[in-house]
Amino acid sequence: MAKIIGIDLGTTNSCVAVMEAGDSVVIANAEGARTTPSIVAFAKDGERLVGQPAKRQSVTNPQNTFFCKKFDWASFGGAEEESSLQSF
Amino acid sequence: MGLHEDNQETPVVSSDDEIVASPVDTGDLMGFQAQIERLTASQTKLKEELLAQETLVAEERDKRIRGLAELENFKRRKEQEVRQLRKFASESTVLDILPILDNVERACDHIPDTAHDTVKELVEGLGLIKKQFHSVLEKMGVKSIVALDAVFDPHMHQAVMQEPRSDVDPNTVVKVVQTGYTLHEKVIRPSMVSVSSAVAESESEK
Repeated sequence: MAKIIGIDLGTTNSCVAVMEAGDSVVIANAEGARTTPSIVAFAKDGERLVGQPAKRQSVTNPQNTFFCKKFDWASFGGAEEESSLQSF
Repeated sequence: MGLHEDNQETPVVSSDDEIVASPVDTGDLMGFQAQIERLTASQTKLKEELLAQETLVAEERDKRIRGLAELENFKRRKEQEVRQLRKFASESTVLDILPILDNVERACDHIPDTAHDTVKELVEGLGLIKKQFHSVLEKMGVKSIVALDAVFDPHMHQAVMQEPRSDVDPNTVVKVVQTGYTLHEKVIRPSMVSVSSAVAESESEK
């Protein structure tokens, strides 16, 4: 039976909910939390980590841990030319 | 003429009370054909109506079965949710209490060897308080995570620093900064640890 899910993929945290009998219900992750940090890591043994576990090992594995960070274009000479091409 | 009398029949009426056939002169071939055409058309229409009704019934039956199945799933999910809520109802309270235990343990760890005799009794008392704390937590289903010397596991440990070490395998927990705890096997507070890293090649050559 097809289910409708909604995903909020945020820069810091993400959240997933499913439509059930007309109401949205948030789905807890494997650790029992209703939101998950938006962090992904590739462990040394090849294991793919997501959320809190990924966050917890970021100090030991910085090269292979990824999260969202706003890029400060201004400190890199700006991006006026590129941003002028945007229609919004 | 005799033939004509034998074939007097009452008019044939369709479901719409539409007279589709009426007694005809059997010698009238055109009339006969027209009647056949009307009957065929009527039959086709009835067949279509029947099909439409059957389709509708099938759809409604399907909807009903799906509705019942969804209700069943919903019930099961709610029961699961209630079970989980009951099981981990004490989680936030336990998390609030753990820092007190942290401080009791820190106090126990920082007793100078040169403690005076009277203070020694106080020290023993403190140790008993710590023990009592542990047994109460155990009764609640709370267990401490044994992290020291274990392989670093991000599901149970949180790395707060790294130390290059040549005497242990890399990615081993070498120091526990704060004890982690589980409640009914679910990690409620990961152990804050220091993890060993491989000594850099250039350093080991020195």
